[in-house]
Amino acid sequence: MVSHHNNEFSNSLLYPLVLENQQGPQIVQHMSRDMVSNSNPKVQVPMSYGSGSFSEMVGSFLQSPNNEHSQGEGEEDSGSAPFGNRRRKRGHEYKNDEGGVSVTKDCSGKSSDGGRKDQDDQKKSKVEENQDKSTQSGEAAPKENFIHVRARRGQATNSHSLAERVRREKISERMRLLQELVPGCSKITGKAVMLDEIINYVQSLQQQVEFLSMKLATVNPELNLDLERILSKDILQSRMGGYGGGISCSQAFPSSSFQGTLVPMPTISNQLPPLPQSVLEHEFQNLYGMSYDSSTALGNMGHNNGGSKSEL
Amino acid sequence: MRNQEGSSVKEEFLRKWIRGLRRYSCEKKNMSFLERKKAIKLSADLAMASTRDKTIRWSQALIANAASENVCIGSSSAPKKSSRKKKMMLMRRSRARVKSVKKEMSSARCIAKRLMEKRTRKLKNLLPGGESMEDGCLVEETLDYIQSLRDQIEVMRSLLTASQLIINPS
Repeated sequence: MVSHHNNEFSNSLLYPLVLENQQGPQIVQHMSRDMVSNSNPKVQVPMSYGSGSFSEMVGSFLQSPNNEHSQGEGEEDSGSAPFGNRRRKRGHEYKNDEGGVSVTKDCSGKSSDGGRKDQDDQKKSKVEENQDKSTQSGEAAPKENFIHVRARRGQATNSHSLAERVRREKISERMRLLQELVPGCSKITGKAVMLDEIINYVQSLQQQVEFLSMKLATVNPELNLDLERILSKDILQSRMGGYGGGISCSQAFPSSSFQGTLVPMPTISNQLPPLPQSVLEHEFQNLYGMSYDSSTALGNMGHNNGGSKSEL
Repeated sequence: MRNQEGSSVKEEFLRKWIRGLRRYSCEKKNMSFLERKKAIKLSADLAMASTRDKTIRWSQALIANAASENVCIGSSSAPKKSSRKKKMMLMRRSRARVKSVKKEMSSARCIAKRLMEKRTRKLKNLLPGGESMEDGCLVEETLDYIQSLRDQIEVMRSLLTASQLIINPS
């Protein structure tokens, strides 16, 4: 399983390049492997096609890559005709709205090869995936991105298994992203253990949300979040060091203040009382144009706090 | 993926959350502790879900679930019908594609497969609307869900500490 993984990991190097390039011109990427060393994949320069129909794409693909292939794989083919030993396949993979993948094979496109299938060591075949991402296309014609995959030596070239492999690599790439997100998973190699960690992490996050909402319920007995006060306090706290009196009120919702509050809070909390209430009220009137009755709000808070404590 | 828009997402989430809470407090006075907690959590979840695209499945499923349980706040009434329809369509299509699981004899591979199935099922149960997702989609949605949960927790925690500070300035 581990070695299998390594293969897939090294193979999936190219996928981020292709999958991310979904805007702009379509990009076709060829991947060929050095037969002997099997270590450094040779990536052909991606060619971009205009957003035409599939037939145009196929036509240009047939003509132009001829030269590339003869250069690139000359050493591997040992001088044989560029497409001589290859069995070419066309497969379309359409992505529906909900992300389901259905593979339909269109084998009529095997033109120049005829029926020559070489199932021996130097087996290569291509699978084109047509991903319709309608959410990203701003044009009338749906954008088509083709990923060319070559089967490696000794691997099945059935279009089903190739599509399977592509799908598996996509999954493993996403799992790697997840690995970075979930803390403490960098050393884990193996999907099962990784999934366990992910499950634990998601459960703990959900429990945290529950806990925090419970705490918020105790702190705030009437759900009357006096948000303006809270936010202004955050604003003031984060800028305490800079300027005391003149506070710019243009940013009502500075998100950076939230990050800022967590850090300076233990140190600044002592300095809160000396802040004059008049400043606060003045701020509020400027910002929101309402009359703010600080005394009653404070009274409410104090009274309710006592009430909530008795509840618990 | 979402690194650039992180702070704006949090802002948006906070705004929507506060709006939802205000509506809740206007409707019902003197809620019990549990009700309050549920209201807070629900509005937070809904606010987080509404910051995500229509293409993200777990958020739509969350909103649909909340709407169907009739505990929804006014802000979510608009996507109610469309998300419900989407959910039905999703369930129908996924049912058509479900493959039958063959019970095989015990061999190493089958055991591994069974373990994976168990875990993916667990993950699907965790994720809102996860039952109708396939593998690749599931992993993607989990990724997004984890990021959203983290943002949500951060904002909630900072709000909590801020309100605690207001009450006890010492």
